[in-house]
Amino acid sequence: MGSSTKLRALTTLGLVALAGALTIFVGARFALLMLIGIGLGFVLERFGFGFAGPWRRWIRERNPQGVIAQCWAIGLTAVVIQPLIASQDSLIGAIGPVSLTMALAAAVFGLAMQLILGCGSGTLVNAGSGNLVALVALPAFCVGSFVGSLWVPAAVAATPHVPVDLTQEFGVAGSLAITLSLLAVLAALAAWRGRTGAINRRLLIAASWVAVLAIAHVLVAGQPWGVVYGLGLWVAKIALPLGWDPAGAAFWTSPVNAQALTQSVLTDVTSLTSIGLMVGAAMAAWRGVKGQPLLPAIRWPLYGVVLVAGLVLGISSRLAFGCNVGALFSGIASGSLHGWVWLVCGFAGSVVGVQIRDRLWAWGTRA
Amino acid sequence: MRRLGILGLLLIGLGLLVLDTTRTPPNPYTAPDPLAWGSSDGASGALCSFTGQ
Repeated sequence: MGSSTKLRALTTLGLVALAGALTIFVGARFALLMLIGIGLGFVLERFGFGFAGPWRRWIRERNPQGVIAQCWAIGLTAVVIQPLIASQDSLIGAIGPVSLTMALAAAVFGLAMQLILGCGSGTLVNAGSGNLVALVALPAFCVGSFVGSLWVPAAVAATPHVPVDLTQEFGVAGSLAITLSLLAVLAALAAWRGRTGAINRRLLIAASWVAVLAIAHVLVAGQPWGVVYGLGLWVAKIALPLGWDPAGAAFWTSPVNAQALTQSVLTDVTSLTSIGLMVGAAMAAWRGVKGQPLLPAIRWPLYGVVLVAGLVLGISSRLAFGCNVGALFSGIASGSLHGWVWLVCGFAGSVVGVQIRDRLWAWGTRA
Repeated sequence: MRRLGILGLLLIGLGLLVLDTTRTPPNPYTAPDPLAWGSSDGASGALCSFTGQ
């Protein structure tokens, strides 16, 4: 038996054992969610599908392929989940509010994700593939998500927060027409202003898989795919035995969140898929990273920038009611206006972030 | 070696999961709706169902 066949057999065995153990000790639904997360992580890493990278490539090189693949993935997901959620009371969409703080936070997130080339899903996937920059950013991202959860009530009180569900405003057909039309216009604009070919078959295949897994997530979890909540929950659960009192935090005293603090993270939807993302990325990257150095050729002070960027990513994603996954991908696919506002503001922030990253990395890259 | 990064992450993650499981063990009989596909029971409430509280 060759080494690659052995590795594949061991991986399959490991996955079956993991799913079996989760089914027995937690529940079949949670085992399935972990497998969906692993599938997402594997696809994102193996096919190089993402959010921060394609935006950077469009901004710097006018390469529209990744942006078009994103539109394809969101559109495919929307076509299925909008009618599904509207027809089933037990399913809920990623409907977040639109507000001034939400828009500003999305712009800040867009800027910060370009500094470390890792968004919500990207940081987890990059960390899973052994990327040291992401490994440094991830703990800060988690702490930031927790800090952001403490600030959300103040942000909500400071400015009007208005959730707008397009399926409620215009019906499912109207919402789908708006969603798909805007995605088509976005893809056409990206292609029109692009300087390279518009279609990348590999990215479109990845986008289709991401859509299938995102739809499966809605069916199994009852809600669309998200990332950031789980990261903040992990830190909150670590902070509890260290003396933190959630009674003073409005976010963590709301029934759903208070319950999450008393239960295993293995019963938290977002935690399961986020853990799965890292495991799936690790599986996809394991062979490819053989022999690659752990330390990238960058100056040490840049790790300080990475830590701050990770912290900012966590805080801003909470205040923006989601990251590129929970707000941009799942929000738009669910028919939430806040997803579109996130897209515009996050992209504007990314334009600035790309310039800053280029200067920082030009200084900080060792020859 | 980048593989060390992967192994380190997986080991730290596993350690934290074991710690969490000892403090709050998952119970398949009380876990939210373990076999009901498509139920929103147990869904993370941070983003979805925004009520403005």
